[in-house]
Amino acid sequence: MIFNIVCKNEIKLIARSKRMFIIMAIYNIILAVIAMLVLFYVRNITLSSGLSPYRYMMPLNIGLMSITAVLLALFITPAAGGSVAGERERQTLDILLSSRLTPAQIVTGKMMSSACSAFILLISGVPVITVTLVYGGIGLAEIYQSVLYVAFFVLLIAAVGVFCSCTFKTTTSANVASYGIILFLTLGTAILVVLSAFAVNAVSPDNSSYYVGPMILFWLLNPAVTFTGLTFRQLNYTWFNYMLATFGVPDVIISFWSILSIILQTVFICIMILFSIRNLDPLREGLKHKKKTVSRT
Amino acid sequence: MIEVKNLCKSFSDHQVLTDFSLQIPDGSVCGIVGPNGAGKTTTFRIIAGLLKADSGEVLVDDTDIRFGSKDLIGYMPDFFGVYDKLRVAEYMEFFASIYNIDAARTAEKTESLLDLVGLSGLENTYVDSLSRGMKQKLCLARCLIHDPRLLILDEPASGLDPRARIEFRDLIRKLHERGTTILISSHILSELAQMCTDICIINNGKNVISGTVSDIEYRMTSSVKLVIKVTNGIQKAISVLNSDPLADKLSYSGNEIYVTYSGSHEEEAELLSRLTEEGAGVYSFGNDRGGLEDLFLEITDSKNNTGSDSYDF
Repeated sequence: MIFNIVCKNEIKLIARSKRMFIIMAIYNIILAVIAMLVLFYVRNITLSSGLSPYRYMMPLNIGLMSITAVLLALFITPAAGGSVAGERERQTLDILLSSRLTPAQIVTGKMMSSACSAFILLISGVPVITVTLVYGGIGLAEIYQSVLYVAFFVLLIAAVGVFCSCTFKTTTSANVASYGIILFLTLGTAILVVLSAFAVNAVSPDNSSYYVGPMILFWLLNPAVTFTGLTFRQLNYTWFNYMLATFGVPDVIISFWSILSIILQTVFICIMILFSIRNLDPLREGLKHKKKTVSRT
Repeated sequence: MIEVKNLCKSFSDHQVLTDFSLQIPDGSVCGIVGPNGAGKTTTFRIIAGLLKADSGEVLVDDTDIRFGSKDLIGYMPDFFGVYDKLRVAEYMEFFASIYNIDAARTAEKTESLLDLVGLSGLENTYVDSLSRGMKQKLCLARCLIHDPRLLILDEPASGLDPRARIEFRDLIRKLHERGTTILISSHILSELAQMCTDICIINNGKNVISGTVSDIEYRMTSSVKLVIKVTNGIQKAISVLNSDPLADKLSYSGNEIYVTYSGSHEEEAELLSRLTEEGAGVYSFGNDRGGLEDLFLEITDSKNNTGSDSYDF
């Protein structure tokens, strides 16, 4: 069994639904419209000022990749959130669980299929993204780096979505919870750390300290911050590192910020998968049952 | 032999199953009957590995099913689920691939099973275009794709029209003839009586009575209702019956006599001899034990009235 059966079946179902084609069309139209408008603007500027247009290509690429990440988060979260909950609503989950399939196979299959849908969208948008190569000023390595991180971000979204899908009974509640967790991971943690820094600054004697201590771990978990770090490095901007230093992050962590955050996010994805499997297993020991057993003994 | 031993299950403070035990002989069709909330679906879900029992075990050939392979069981829940966007053959292929059945064998099994359930020729039809009865049959075919030892059908006839019910009943008979062990629940008791070899009546999470259908009916009924039809000598027959201390509640209509008789089979034979000796022209002598429906009502009613834990004979 090289390919996960659940994933194979799910991809077949996705490919037959109109929803995927509509999403793909909307996704590509949004990307294309933004890319064309920016290119038109760049053309006008360069024609009027005589500046080289290539200097605008890297920011355009980063902008497009950021929009790609946001669109994927918007489109893939409900797909992942509805993956297991949808089976439950369709009354097919019991059939799968009573078969030879293990909860781990179901969870990984659902996660892979959600990620596959996102990868299809991501690949379909590559022609638009490569428009940024027209004037030069950007290397393929930078594009690969951005695309790879967005692909990793997709895995994170899929893991969160499947976890919520295994935990909540209905697709709606699973989707709401998935969006909630993703928003907390991206916007929530960002705001939390910045507010903490301002709070520390407000109470510090000379109003010069922004040290937030272990709170910065939240930013290591934040995929938006990781992506920002990567792009700022591509643009050779030092502002990001300076901000981290202001928040009291040691130099060694700043040097390996991207790698550390990817490692931490990988651990987070693994935890999500393990909890999903646990929540889906119908024969798992419930907490209440364990308590009863302990009290009896 | 499939054995369910002392299953106990509670949800919060509500005890659903209490020391529920049941033996299902190989090749039998065992029907579980009980009022709503009696614990039928909970029992099925525990056997199918979808629910953890608080205590007790399910043994297949002395092996606990929790540690054995899930290939032993084919489970069809009360609300059957299908993937609407798949074709009938693809639906079967999906479940065959779960059990690692190769493509050639899958095609062969799909053909034979669809033929068995009466869906042959619909291989390329999308599942969402099938009727409810057809979907039910497809679900049954899906359960059989891996040749399970035990087929669990939770209220399979619910929501089907009368014709589909009859077809489904015939299908169960066919499976029984093929030697499949079937555990089935239904609220349509008369149908269960027609298709089951064994019956278990469950009430308040307890096995109230179980055994073969005829055995249960015989054990349950301490006295039988005799229907005696005579061509002549009805008064002579009535006087014989009146003089018999085992006969009770005698009534007659035309040339038919109805009497409640509490004797053994031998005593029934002696009664018949006496009737013919006295000159009653008996041309029909039979008993009417009543259906499973009567039995079910009697048991659940007596349970509700007495609140006792087991049914005594």
